[in-house]
Amino acid sequence: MREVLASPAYGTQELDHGPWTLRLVQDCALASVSSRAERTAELKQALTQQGFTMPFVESFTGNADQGAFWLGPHQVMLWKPYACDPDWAAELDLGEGIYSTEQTDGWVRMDILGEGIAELAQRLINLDPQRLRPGFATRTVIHHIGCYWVVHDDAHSVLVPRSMAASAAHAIEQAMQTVLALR
Amino acid sequence: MNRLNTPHVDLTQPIRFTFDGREYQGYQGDTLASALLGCGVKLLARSFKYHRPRGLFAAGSEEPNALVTVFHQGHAEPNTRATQVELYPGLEARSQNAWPSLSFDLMAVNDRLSSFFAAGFYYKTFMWPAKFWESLYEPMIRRAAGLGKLAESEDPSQYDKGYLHCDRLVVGGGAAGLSAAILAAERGESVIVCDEQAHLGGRLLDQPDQAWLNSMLQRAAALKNLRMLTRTTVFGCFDHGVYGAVQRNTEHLAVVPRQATKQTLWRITAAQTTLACGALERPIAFANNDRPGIMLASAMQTYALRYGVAAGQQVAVFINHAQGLQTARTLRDAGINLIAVIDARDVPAVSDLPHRPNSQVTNTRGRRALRQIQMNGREWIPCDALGLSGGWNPNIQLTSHHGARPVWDEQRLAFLASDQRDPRQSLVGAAAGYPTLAGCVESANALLQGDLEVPASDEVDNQAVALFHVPGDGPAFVDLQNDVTVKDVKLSHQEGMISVEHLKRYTTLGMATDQGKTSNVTGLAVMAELTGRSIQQTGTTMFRPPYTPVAMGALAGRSRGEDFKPTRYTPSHEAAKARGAVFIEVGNWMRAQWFVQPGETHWRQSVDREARAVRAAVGVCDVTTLGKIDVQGRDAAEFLNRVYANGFAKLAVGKTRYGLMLRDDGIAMDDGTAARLAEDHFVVTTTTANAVPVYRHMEFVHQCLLPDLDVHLISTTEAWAQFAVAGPRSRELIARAVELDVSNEAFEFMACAETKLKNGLRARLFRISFSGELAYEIAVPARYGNDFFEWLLEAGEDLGVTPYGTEALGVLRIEKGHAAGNELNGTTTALNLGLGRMVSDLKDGVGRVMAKREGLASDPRRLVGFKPVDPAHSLLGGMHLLELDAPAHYQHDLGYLTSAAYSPHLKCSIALGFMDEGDTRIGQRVRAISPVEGLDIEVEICSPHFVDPQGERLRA
Repeated sequence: MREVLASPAYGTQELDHGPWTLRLVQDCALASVSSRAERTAELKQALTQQGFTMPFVESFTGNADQGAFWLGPHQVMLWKPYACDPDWAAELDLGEGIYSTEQTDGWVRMDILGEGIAELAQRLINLDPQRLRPGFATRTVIHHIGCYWVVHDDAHSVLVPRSMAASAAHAIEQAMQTVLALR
Repeated sequence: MNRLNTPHVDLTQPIRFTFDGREYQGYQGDTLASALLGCGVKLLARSFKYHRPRGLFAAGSEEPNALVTVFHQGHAEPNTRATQVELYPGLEARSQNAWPSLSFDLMAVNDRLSSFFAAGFYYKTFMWPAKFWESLYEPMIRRAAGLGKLAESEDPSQYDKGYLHCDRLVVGGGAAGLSAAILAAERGESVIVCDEQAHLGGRLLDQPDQAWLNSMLQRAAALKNLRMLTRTTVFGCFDHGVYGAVQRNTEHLAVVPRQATKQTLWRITAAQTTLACGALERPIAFANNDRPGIMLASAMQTYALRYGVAAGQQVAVFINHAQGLQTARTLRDAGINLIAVIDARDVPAVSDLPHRPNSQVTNTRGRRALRQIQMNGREWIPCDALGLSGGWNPNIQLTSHHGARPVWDEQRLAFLASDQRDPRQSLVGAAAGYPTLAGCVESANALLQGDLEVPASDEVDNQAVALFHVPGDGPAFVDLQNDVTVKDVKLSHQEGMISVEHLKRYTTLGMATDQGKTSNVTGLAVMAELTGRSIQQTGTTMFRPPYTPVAMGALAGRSRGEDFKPTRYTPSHEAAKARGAVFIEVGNWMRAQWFVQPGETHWRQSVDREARAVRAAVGVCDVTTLGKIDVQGRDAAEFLNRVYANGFAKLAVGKTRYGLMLRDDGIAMDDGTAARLAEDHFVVTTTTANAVPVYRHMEFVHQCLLPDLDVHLISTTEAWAQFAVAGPRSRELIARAVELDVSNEAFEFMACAETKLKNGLRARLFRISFSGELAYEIAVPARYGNDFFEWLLEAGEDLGVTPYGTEALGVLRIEKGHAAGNELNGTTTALNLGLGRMVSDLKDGVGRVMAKREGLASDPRRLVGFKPVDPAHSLLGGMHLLELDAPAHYQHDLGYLTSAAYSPHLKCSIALGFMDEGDTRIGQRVRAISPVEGLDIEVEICSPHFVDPQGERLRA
């Protein structure tokens, strides 16, 4: 059997408009983990052993390479570079009573880079831009698409369902053009 | 040039524009209204019903008369208020509702016949014959009366929308709004102030001294946490402190930058809102009070001081309150030739004005513009502009959008905001009933514990006498935009319209695009007079959003055309497209419906070929769109046991089971499979349409009904590309793909496994069948879906592999008798579906008890198959079933067809449907009828399993 190749979620990997860049992050493995309420301490410990810090509600810990953000009570999404360990998310085992699901293919991460992203965010998400500081993460909606908006030191990362990634990228690009045209 | 000096209009920068094809000149800073007035053009429109000549009445968005069509960027925008159109070079505007021309309008004959056109005229006159209404009467009336004409072409402008958040939203940027915004920002709040005009300042822009305003604007500009949005109308207050606002970005520009959006719809979420929307001056109704040249006194002041335009050469004002005298003085000081100040109050005459106390305007003359006014029913005075000042109506519309009715204040003679309004709303300035500059600043200080210095002013507060209309001969207009007169209000009262809501609907008072901004209170006052009740007792109608009309384009924002909603692409989309797929939208998914091959000219050719290929060899269909829910946890099996109607507790690892999910009320909700990958790990599949509802339902059951179970749910629909590989040769193809032994013995029907492809890629394999054939579903990580689909088609070429779409998928499942969305339609039960035995009595489950209730348990309808007695006939979904000799009436209805298709296998049309006791009538004949299509077809009732009823193929 020949090798089967992976396809990117949409065509253009990097879009530049004015001060902003929208970059499709392909080197990103994702896994969601959850535990029962009474096992939160174990979850926290297991994450620490894996090099992650348990995030609080609506927050993100880590950096562009490796991080964790809050999904729900006792539920966290983790990311790590895909290339260095392609099987990491699929084989993640955090111990008894902690359940993980590989999400690398379920979600597509797009990073928005540049100055003044708050102005762009106002056209996209119903969130107070003052909250968009490094360490913030939340579930929100872009153009009817449920997504996660995560802020870290390097960029604002938007995670969208793979099937709608092209639409989400288009919506973000359109918002960039809209803001720039009125400047 | 009759222009006065003003800091807001630059007389060194002329601007050419056209109105009704004729070229005029205005200046930078003008509106279309001020520029036309400056050119001496007073006749701007014809009235809605009587086609009476009309001119400017106001200077802001409350303008009821001067509605024009503006041609901007090649698009005609009708019903645009000339007062809100900022002048730009080349502006083209046209009048509306006149034929053949504005000055000579033949339809003005309506005015001569006005005595016939009183309130209720249409209701009374066009009742008979009823069939003439749509074909004759309505088109005739619409041609004779109305406003502008729609462009009938797509609006080429781009619109935008966005979200803003703040601690305090201040609506209105006049003295009160600026004061409140500055005070709030200076104490650390994030503040947004919106004003619908091009410049902040409100009525301060109409004052001779701009020093205080300029100092406030400078102070505001220094505050980084204060955002000022001009040309922005806050049009509605919605739930949870959310306000809708439209910002006009480019309508004032002659050349619009590429990709610049015309308007932005802002959704503003504010912790607190301060309404500083000011107040609108109230006119006084009297005979022939609508001639061009008659306008609000405050509008006269705006035109004079903000735009440097005198409303006329001989100007009079008609007032009923002390502030009106102040307006008269301001006009006089601005250089207006003031000939009379007609004051309805019995007060001593002031010496510095041509003051006529204890007087009223009783009538006017002038064909296309005002020439004379009559005072006290006797004296005619030459006059070409008359300002009306009958008090102030605070702009409290936004306080009513949550249902709080305004409250009449007898002292201020005005409706004020109710205490029942949204508690997050506060009011300052004229909106709160304090119309003076001092009142504006003091109310802002009081609200925000500020200490802004109150500027010196010789303004006086409102000391009014109640005067809403002056009796006299001739039509006295209450609602200028809808041509409603005092007489109409009286007539409606005579005809029994006692409630103000009835008055409104019978006369259309306040129902025009201006929502009665200058007419509602006067209409209510007249009604109160007639009923002998107070205005408070008479009541008021509600204000509803939008405050001013909002373009549909603005509401849509960027969501138009292809961008109306997101599109979901299946993993194999590109490969399917390359192979000639025709796509159909399912939910937001684009799914391959069929694949066109060379020589195929009709969809049936493609679909029949695909269905036959699956039955004969092997087909591949992308079924990624089916919902996939990862269920993990110590109690995962017990959870599924409760959420499904049938049992799951004993399902072995490595096995899959068909499951039926019921709603709480016992109706079938969804069906699918649950595969047990490990003791504590299941993968549940749902139908495409119910992927989200099922996940939501399971979360509800988990969080609310069974919170103690250790179960973890997460959607993985997007994570796996899943393909149905179906047909007698599917095993051979699957065997080429996976490392697993897929022989019938090793991987029997309903088996499942996590495995790897032969190239090492992770995969999941399920031996399940929707088509009734030997079949598998194989899933790989979604990124690899496109190429894996290609590989399956390459690797199975020698097996006769065929890609098939949703249409063939449907044909195959109907042939097999599998229920789908058409059968699980929200009204059917497990019993109806022939799955009654799946609702286990051995365990508890959602919907189990309700499914047994009498109404459902006694429902005789059962899912059965149908085929036409004459194979040449075609069946349609939705046809109803009748006995052979029964009349086509719903009382004889036996059931209906849910799904129909042409079966290439049986070479005739087949259908599934629900029929009363259908399962006991196999082999009998009934009729399927479609009155809509004119079809009446004799059909034979048969098993729903047209193909392989024993299930031998899928177990092969």
